[in-house]
Amino acid sequence: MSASLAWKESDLVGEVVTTITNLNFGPIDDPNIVVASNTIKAGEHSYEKYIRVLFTGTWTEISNMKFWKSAGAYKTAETVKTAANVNFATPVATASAVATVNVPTTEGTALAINSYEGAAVITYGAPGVSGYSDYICLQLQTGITTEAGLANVKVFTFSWDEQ
Amino acid sequence: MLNQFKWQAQLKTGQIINQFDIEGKEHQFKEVQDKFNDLVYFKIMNEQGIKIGVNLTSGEIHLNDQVIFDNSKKTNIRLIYFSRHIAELNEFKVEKKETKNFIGFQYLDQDNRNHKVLFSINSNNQIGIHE
Repeated sequence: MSASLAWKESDLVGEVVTTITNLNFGPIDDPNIVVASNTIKAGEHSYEKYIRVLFTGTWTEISNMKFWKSAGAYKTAETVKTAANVNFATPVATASAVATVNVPTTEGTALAINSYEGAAVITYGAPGVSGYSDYICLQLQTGITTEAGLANVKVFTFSWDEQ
Repeated sequence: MLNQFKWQAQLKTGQIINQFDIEGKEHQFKEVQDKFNDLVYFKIMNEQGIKIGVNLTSGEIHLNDQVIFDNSKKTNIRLIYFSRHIAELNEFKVEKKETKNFIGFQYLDQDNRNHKVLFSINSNNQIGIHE
């Protein structure tokens, strides 16, 4: 029918890959974090998240891959930093040297995402094609003035064209 | 369940390629791409009977067999077809939210200028035009 999509997160020194069901930021380098028991102190940052998409199924070409934050207001001094099409590095909770720009909040300014092999198009069945997008690095950063309590829910959107 | 569209391509030879043949086997769009120069008609349709078709010879676009775009003096008509998908990810879930199909063509006018006519239809059968 068409390609199916799964979100994958890589963690730890060994680039351990997990299929994720949420994108909770936290003070531990784990996927699918339980927020209630893993809070981020004001003025500190989450561990970086290295996420990518894996397409399975059949298609002819996947192109025009985009990523942006489509909903979710920030609290005071809170932001999500990002970088697209980066290599995996062991995630850190200090200010990211990889994710350094604010995540776009409109489709028009969305990050353009490449394939893991560095191409703008993922051609089905082509030699060496893994079906993965390239990595997107994200980090939630706070300030000392960030209000206590749960952050607002943020929604990240990934879109792609498919033939 | 998304309201899925399936495509059908008709070639100069009269051959018809359905995305799903009578045995249920799926054909990839690449088969159409490989025969672009022989393509005369391409349409998408859903189970609710909605059809959007592109006549690559006359330059007409049809909605349920009615002409909805016709501009004479077109040459070098080239099919555009793709589906655009949106998936969301938040702290609760991963969700494939929306699929929209795009169909239309590019063409050259009398002055050899390139134009694009593109219609979209979503899973609620809402149609948009993008020029």
